[in-house]
Amino acid sequence: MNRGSGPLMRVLLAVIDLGRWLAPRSRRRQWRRQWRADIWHESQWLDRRSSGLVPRTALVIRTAGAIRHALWLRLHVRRIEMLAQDLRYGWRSLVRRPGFTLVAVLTLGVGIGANVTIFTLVNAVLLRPLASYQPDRVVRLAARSAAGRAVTRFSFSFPDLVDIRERSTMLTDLSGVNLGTFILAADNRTDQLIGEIVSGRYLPMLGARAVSGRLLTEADDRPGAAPVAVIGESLHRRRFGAEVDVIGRQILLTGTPYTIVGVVERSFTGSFVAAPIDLWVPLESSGTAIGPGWRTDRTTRPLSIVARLRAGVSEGQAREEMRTIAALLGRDVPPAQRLSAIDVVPGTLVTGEQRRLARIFLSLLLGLVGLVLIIACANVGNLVLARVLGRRRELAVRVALGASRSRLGWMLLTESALVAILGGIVALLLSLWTSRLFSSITPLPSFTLRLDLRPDIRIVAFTALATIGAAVLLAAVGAFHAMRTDAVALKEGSAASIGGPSPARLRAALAAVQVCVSLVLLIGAALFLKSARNAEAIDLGFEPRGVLATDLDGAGRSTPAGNRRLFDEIVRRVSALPTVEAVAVSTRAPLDSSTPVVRVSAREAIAPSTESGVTTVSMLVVGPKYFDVVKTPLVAGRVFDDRDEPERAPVVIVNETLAARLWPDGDAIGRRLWLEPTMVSDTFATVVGVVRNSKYLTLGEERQGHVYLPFAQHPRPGMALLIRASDVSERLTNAVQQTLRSVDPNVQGFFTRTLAEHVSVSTLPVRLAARTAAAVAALALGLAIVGLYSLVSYLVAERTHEIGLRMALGANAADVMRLVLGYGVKLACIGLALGIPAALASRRLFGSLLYGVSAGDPLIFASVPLSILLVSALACYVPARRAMRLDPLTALRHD
Amino acid sequence: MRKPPPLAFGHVSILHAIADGSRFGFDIMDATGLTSGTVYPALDRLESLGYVTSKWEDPRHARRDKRPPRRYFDLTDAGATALAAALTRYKNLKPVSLAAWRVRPSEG
Repeated sequence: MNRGSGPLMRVLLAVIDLGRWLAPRSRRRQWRRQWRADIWHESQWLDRRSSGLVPRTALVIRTAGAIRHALWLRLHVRRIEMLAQDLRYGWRSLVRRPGFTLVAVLTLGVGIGANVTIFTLVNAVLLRPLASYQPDRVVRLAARSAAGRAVTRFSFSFPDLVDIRERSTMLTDLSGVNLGTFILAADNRTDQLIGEIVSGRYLPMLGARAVSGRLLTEADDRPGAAPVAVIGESLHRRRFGAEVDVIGRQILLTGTPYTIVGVVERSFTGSFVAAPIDLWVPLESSGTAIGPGWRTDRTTRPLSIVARLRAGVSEGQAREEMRTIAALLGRDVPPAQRLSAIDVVPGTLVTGEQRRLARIFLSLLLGLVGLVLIIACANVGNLVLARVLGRRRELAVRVALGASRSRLGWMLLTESALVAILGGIVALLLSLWTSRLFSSITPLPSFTLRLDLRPDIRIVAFTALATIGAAVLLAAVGAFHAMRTDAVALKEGSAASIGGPSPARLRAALAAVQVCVSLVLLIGAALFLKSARNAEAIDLGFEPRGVLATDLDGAGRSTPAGNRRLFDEIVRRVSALPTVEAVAVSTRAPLDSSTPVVRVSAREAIAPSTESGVTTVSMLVVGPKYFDVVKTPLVAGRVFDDRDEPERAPVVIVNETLAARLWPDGDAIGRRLWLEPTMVSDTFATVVGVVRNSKYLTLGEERQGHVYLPFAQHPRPGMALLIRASDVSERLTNAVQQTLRSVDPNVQGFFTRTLAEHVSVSTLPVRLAARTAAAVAALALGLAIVGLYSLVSYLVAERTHEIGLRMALGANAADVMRLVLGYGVKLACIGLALGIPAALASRRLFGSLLYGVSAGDPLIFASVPLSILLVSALACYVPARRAMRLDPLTALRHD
Repeated sequence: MRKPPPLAFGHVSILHAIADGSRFGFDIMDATGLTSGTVYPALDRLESLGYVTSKWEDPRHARRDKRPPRRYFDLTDAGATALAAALTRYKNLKPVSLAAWRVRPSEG
C-alpha cells in the first residue's frame, strides 16, 4: 500500500504508532487502525484540496485528541469493565467476614481519626485565614528591628497608621486593630467582654457579614461620629436572647453610651486566635481604651495593622513599598520614636514568634498521631496479609483460570480502598466528637479559648489524603504477597505450609514496628508527664500562693499625675479590706509572656539601629509594696519607697542576673543604667536595689535579666493589681470589685485569678502536650497489643497441625507454651531494640517543651520498655494457652 | 430493567450527527463542532452503552482510494430511541425570555 503522501501525514502516523502504547492492550490494535485510517483519509482530502496552513493545523490538533482518546481508554476500559465487578466483589468479601471488617475499619478509623483531630487544631490555629473573602490578598504589617528579628504583634501607633495609610499605594483598606476589655452594662447587669477596637474599613475588608443590622463603616470612624458598636452573634444570643432585636439599642461600654448597629455572624472571630471576641467598636470613639494619648502618642504602639493588597499587586511589591515608607517616616519623627522597618507578612491568625512556637508544638503533636496511623496501618496490614494467606487457594485458582497479576492487585486495592474509605468515614465522625476536647481549654477560670473547630474543606481534604495514604499502604502490603501467588500455590495452598518464610517475616516485621513505635510514643508521653510535674515544682523566685491578681485594663487617666492618684487610691482602699496583707500595682502579674522588654546599657546610650552587644531585659513598673506581695527577697540595697517621687532622680531595681552581667566586678548599687527611651521617658536611672532572680516571661527561661521601675516615677494606665491576703476566696474577689467600683464606676478588674492560676497558664502547653501524648500513647500501645495478639493467635491457628505433630512426638504443654510465647516475646524484644535508639533520637524534638527532665531519664528508659515487654507477654499468653490445650489428635487432623 | 440516565448534550449531538449521515469520526467532529478528544471517547462510550455500533469500511472501497479502511458508526435501535427521547426533552424546554441578559439572537 502506498505509504501516503505528505510529510505531515508521515509525522502524524508516527505519532499514532508511538501513541498506541498509551492505549490499553485490549484496545491497542483497534485504536491504531482507527486513527491511522482517519488521519490518512483526512490528509488525502486536504492534499487533494491543496489547502493552506489552517486546516493542516486543525489536523495536528485533532491528532493530539488521539492521545486523549488513548488515555481515556486506559482509564475507562478497566473502569467500565472491572471496577464495578471489583467493588461488588470487595464489598461481598467484606460483608462475608464482618469480624475482620469491623476490626480493620475501627482500627483505621481510630488511626486516621487521631490525625484528623490534631489536624483540626492545626487548622484552627495555623491554617484558617484571617479573611473569609479572598484571604490570600490580606496581609499584616509587622515592625521589624533592623537586624530583621523580633516581629511583634502590636507594633504601630495610631500616627504610624495614618502616615502609612497616606503614603501607601499598593495596599488598600489599611486598618488598625487592638484588643480591649470592656464592661458592658445593659438591663441592670454588667459583664466583662473582650472586643476589638478597629478602623472603619476593618470588618468589610475581612469579609465579615452582618446577620442583622450593618457592619461598622468608615463614617463611624470619623472624628465626632456617634459611638456605635457591632456585637457578635454569640454575645447576642448569650446576653440578650437570640430572638430579641438589638439593633438601635443603647448600651454602656465602660461608662460610655453606644448604639448597637449590627450583629456579626458567628463564624467571624476577629484577628486574634483563641480570644473570645464579642464586640467591635471604631477607633475614633473608643481609642482611649488603647491608651489615653492614642491619637498623637508615638511611643506606645498598641495597634496591629491588617490590609488588603490592591488588585495586581504582589506581596513582594508591597514589602518593597513598605521599606521605602519606613525610611521616609523616619525623617520627620524623633529618632527614639522611629519605626526601624516595616515588613509585610501573610494575613494569618497567628503570626511571628507565636506562629513559630505554635508550629513547633503542633507539628510535634501531628508527628505523634502520625505514628499512631503507622501502627494502625501495620495492624490492618497484618490482618489483610492474614486474609490474603487465608485466601491463597482462591487467588491461586484465579491465577490458574487466567487472572493476571495486575488484575489481582487491582482487586486487592479495591478491597483495601473500601476498608480505608470506611475507616476514613469513621475517622471523620470520630473527630467531630474528639476535637471538641479542644473547645474547653480554659487557661483561666474566666477565660475559655475560642477556637474555630468546625470541619471545613481543608479537614475533609486532609482526611481524604490520610485515607488514600492508608489505602495505598494496605494495598502495597497485600499486593506484595499476592504478586507472588502462582498456580503452584494451588497445590500447597493448605494451611499446613505455615505461610512460607517471606510473608511470615513481613508480618513479624510489621508487629515489631508497632512495638517500636509505641515505645517511642510511650517514652515521649512519660517525658511529658514528668516534665509537666517538674514544671509545677520549678522555683519561680516568687510565692504564687495567697495572691490574687486582676487586670485593670482601660482604667486610666489622661495624665500621669491622674494615673498615679487613681492607682494610689485603689491600692489604699484595697489594702484596708479585711485579711489583706499587702497590695501593689504592676505592669503585669509576674510570669507573663507579654511582659514588656527593653534594651539597657551600663555605659552610654545605644542608637536605635544597633543590634549587637545590646542587653535586652524584661521590665515591670511596680508599686512600692510589690516585693512584699510576691515575696521576692532583696539581695542588696533597698526596695522602692516614698523617696522615689517623680521630681527626684530616677531609680531602678535590677535582678541578680543583670547585676552580674553588667557589673561583674562588684557592687551594682549606685551605678547608672541607660534604658531605651521608647519604653520610658527618662534615659538614665540609678540602681538602688538588687533582688533575687525569678521567672519573668516563661517557665523555661534561664538567666533572664530584669529591671523594676517605680510606679511613682512611671505612672501608666492599665496596670495589674496584686493582692496578698490570708484568705484568697470569692469573698475577697467580690470585695475588691466593689472597692474598685466605689473608686470609679468605670474601673473593673478583668480576669481576676489567683497568682497560682496565673502561673499555670505558662504550663498549659506542656500540660496539653502531656495529656495528648498520654492519650495518643495509650492508643498506640492498645493497637500494638491487639496487633501482636492477633498475629500470634493467627499463627497458632495456622500452625495447629504442626503443634499437634510436635505434641504427638512428645512435646509437653510447657514446650508449646515456650514456643508460642517465645515467638511473641522475641518480636517484642526486636521492636524494643529498635525503639530505644529511636526514642533517644526523637527526644531532641521534645526538647523545647521539657522542663528539668534529663536527656535520657534512666528511670523512664528502663521502666517503659519493661512494662511493654510485660504487656506483650500477656498478649501472647492467651493464644499460647490455647495452643497448650490443643488435643494432639484433633490438631493432627486439622487441615 | 433500570432506566438509563439521560444523555449528556455532547452525546446527544453525536447521536444526532450519526443519524444525520455523518458516520466517520472526523465527519462527526465537523458536524458537531466538538474536539477529537471528546468525540472519540464519546463514541466508545456510546458503543459500550449499546447506542451505536461500529464496523470497518469495505476494504475494496478503501483500496481504491489507496488508504486503509476506516471505522464507521451506525445508530442502533436503542440509540435511535435514546436520541428521540433526548430531542423530545430539549423540544419540551419552555421558551424563556433572555432579554434581561442582553442575548443577541444567533443566526442559525
